[in-house]
Amino acid sequence: MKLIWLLTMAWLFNLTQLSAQGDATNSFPALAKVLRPIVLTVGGSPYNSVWFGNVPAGNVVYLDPRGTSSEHVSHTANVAKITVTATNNEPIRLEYPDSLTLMNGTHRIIYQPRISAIYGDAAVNPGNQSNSVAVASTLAGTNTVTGPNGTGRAPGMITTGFSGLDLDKTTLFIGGMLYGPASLGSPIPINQEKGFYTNTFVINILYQN
Amino acid sequence: MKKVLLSLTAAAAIVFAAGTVNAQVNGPITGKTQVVQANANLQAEILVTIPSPGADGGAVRFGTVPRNSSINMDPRAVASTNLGFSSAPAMVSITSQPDEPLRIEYPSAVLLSNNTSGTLNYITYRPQISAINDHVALTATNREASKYLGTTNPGRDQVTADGGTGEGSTATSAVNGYVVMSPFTTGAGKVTLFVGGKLYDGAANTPNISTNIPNTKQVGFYDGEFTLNILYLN
Repeated sequence: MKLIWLLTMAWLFNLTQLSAQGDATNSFPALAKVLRPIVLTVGGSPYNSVWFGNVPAGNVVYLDPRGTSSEHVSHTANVAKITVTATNNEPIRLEYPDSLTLMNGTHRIIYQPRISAIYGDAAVNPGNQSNSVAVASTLAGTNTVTGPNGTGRAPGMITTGFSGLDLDKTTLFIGGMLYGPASLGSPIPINQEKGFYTNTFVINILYQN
Repeated sequence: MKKVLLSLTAAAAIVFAAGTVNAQVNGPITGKTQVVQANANLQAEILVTIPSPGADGGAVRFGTVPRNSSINMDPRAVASTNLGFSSAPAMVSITSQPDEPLRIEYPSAVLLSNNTSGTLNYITYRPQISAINDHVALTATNREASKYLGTTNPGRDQVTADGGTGEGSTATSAVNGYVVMSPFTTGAGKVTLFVGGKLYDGAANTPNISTNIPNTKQVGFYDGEFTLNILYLN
């Protein structure tokens, strides 16, 4: 309703201006690019959440979304998976926090999401993960899923595939870093309270243009 | 949703052209949002200590061994054959969260090389590992009391599952996971691994875990290294 009111007010005001200008007329383009709605499909359990498993204190913990450089995660650790379905060859912006706090009662550690992307609806497995690309904050060219030199940190930019089977789908793998409560980059202290740390964060996925 | 936002953009352009009204419209979110949960179970630091390389237990040391023989350094000592007098298994002392299973990853075969003749020659080392609760000394008694690593979660207060061989699987995976439990009671959170193994023939890029080292193999000192990866299982 608020949007409609603003539109109406703008139109009425413009009529007034037109009247003061005599019989001059103006025309204005109305532009709309209609794209298919973005659909998100979250991976089935356990890939519906980021799971570091049992992790040792005294370290910076890394669950590499690409699976190749993970450090100090447990054997059962897994990334989360989100499949984005959207119009082909369109830039898409991924908005998520650069870091957030995981809580265990009043105790906390820092979690920094790291995301990689790959075309298609890709299963979580070592091959697909290593073929995915850490998202960058810049776009790449046609049929390149993200810009160069990405770290996976927020914000991320991806371009949906140009053509071909399943290229309206892009899969995101979500891992991340665990740090001590002091700051990004600090290891989890050896004397940090042991136990289960958890939290949620929102990822907002929208067309860039 | 997308159509509504773009229409508003056009209306705003009209207002701006009139030059008298400024309006900032915060449109609705055009995309989709998804809540993601992140979880971690923080446990004690995993500490690993190994004697210095020159000391007993600091390396897997077969000593001087004969060709054309079955060479076995049993980490439990009971089945060792054809080893040099100075042989000793490596010893790895682990401290971690009590009552939490650990996963020990190591290769099923490792090539050792020798360059005495100016040409690389190879033999194969097949690791075999046993475990015992607490931090213990490298003695025949403690080695015999240890158990070969098994591949399943052993359950509380057992150092490792029954029936293990301690040797990596020869299945397609190059890395094998064996499980050892940090004890809840005895020597809480402390485990000792003894790392022995067998020697076989080998060639470049071709480990062999069935044929004894042949009489034609270049004599001399063969060495190599492998990685033991220790992480929480769950």
